[in-house]
Amino acid sequence: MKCSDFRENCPELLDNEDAPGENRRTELQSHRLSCPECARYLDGLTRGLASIRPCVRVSASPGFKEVVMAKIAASEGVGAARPNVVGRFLARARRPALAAGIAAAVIVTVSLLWNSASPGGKPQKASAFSILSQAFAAEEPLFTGDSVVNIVAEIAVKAVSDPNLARLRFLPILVMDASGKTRFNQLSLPAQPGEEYIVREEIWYEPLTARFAHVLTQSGRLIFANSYDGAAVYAVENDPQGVARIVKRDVGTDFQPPKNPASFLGIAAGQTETLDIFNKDLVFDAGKCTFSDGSEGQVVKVATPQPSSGPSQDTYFLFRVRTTDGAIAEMEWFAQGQSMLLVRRAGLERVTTASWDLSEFEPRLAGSGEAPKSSVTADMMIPNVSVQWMTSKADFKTYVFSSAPSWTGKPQITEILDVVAPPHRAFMILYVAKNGKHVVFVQSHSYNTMLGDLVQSGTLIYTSPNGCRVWGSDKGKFLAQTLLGAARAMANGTLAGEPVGYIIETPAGTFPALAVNGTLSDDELRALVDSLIPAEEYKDE
Amino acid sequence: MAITEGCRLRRAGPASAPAPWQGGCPQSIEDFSRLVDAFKDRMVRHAFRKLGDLHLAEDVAQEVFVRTFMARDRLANVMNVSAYLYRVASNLCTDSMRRRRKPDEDTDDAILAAAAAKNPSGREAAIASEELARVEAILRRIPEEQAEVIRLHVLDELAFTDIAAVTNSALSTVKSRFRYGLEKAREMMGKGQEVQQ
Repeated sequence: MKCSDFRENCPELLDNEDAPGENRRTELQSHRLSCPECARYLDGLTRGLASIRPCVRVSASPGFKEVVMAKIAASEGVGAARPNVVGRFLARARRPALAAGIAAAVIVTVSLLWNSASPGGKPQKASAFSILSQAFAAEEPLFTGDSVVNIVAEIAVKAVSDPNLARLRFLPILVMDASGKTRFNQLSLPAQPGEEYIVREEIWYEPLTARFAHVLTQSGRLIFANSYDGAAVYAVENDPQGVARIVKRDVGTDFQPPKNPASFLGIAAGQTETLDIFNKDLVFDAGKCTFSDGSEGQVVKVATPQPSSGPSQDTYFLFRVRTTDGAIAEMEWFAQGQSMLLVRRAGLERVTTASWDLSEFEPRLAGSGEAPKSSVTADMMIPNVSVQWMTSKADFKTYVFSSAPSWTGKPQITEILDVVAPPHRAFMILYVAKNGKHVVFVQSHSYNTMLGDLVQSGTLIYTSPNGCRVWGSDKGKFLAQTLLGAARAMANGTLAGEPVGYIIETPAGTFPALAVNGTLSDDELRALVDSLIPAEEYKDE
Repeated sequence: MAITEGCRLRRAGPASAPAPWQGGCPQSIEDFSRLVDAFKDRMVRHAFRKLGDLHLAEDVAQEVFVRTFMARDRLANVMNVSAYLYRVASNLCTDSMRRRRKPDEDTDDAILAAAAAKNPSGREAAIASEELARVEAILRRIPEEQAEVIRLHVLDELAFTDIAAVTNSALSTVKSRFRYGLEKAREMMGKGQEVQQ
């Protein structure tokens, strides 16, 4: 072998991946041993490579694949050309994203109804956004290690004087059933004006086995319980007589414990993915803070979209991130500038064991004295329901477009708890467009009762032959931003700079809201509204 | 984000991981999820190297997979899916960098750095960035064509055959560039040691 041949093939000796065959390698090694010059050359290359090879490298985050599969699932919905190819993944991976949409939808409803002073704060965009994003990520290490982690949090329901604000407090709460499905329930936290109370949340999680227990109590009374003991899932269910019981169900063969315990059990469970929905322009650096133990933190404010004119909304979240560990220490929800709820992490310790069998808690479901104010309502949202399902569940006349808009795919309907008027249900119909011009149509009991007032101050744009009227308002863009923001997790896209929003007045006296992620010509608007029909007349295309 | 210990120096040179995927673009969701497993770390590393921001790198890497899945029909006969993934990732990184150059989207480096110093993942990102900066300082002094082959092979862990596909070059050219680049890196090390002595 010539020295030039040896040197040309040196990269192969440096790298096993492109390793030559055994004979070739032997040949190269023989030359190396017989030629000191070439041996020195190879050593030089080896040292050169060592100087370049980094000693640390990054890897994808633990939930990376789930996010990808959820996005793929959302994309797959466009055009529906491959029926149910990702169906199995929808059930698991996509639900967190849907939760995010619902969380935002809830905020939408609330912020639509409340007006007050403008929120302050210095926009920091990506910086504040990054702090919050990293704070969410900092939850993940809490759920790792060899021992059981025990986390205690306090949910403080704050005293407010407005009776409407007082009764409307809630948080999303995730529960896992025996099939491994995550359901989004609502923790309702109503109060009388001026009244305040605390709900205690306790979580145990064993990283090695993924066993968990999650319990909420108020004044010692159990209001929520969910656990997995490695073989069965425990949850609170009502028996046929309406009496709450803790029910044990063996897990199914497809059962998988939470893949990302931080997003299932962490302080911002159900809201982690919400971050993707909020426009970065709505994330603010709200300065420094000092916690009760004297430690310091950074405050990040996540506001809701503001109307382009008229009184601005003052509904927002404050996330207080502890400087020492970069994790969220407190999360506070404000409306009309008043504190509605404060979720505070009160304790975190490592323990050797925990009781995963929650049957022992059952006596605390009944208890004595006054019933707790707080309660858990099942199915804050149910994704992918049919038009027939919607008509059967709605307690008002629902409408649907007789055919999907020409530029979109088929409708995706999500049933949502109408948080302003529980137990009424709301329905969000999303038509995803490949070009991003998604259409969202939302119908709810609370809209029907409250948006009529907004119509009075609006402008009548069009009256359809089918009797539907289209109203525009100075809050149209705001309405569109909020509704599209709610649907964004499912639409898997960005918000248009100038979305349009309308309120529809139907012949049935209902007031659905319509939002389009982009501009809509007069003809397109008319065609869209002309195609509205009562949902019970709908025939699947 | 997790940081894993990097490659160790071995007598015959550090070994790369075996090629993570053989064959074309998977058509079923199950197969595709395996493709994601095989390439997720590499895609994040590639994007992180180009963007210097873990958060953005994850976004880009996720988008690479989504786009590849959406294009799987026309990629059914593409045998080198690895090269395709890297091409898409590079394009998306370029787009992302272009967007970030807009003045109203400039990040506040000081606050980002502070955030990075605060939490584990931030610290890890800072360490990884520092390490990349060290490597890049060496590569900047090497002719760009050679440096790029080294980046693709050493940092992004592409096989020489994949690099040839990604860069539209002959395999022999890729190996030559790699070798000449290492020679120069070695020369620089020697000069650095002489200066220190």
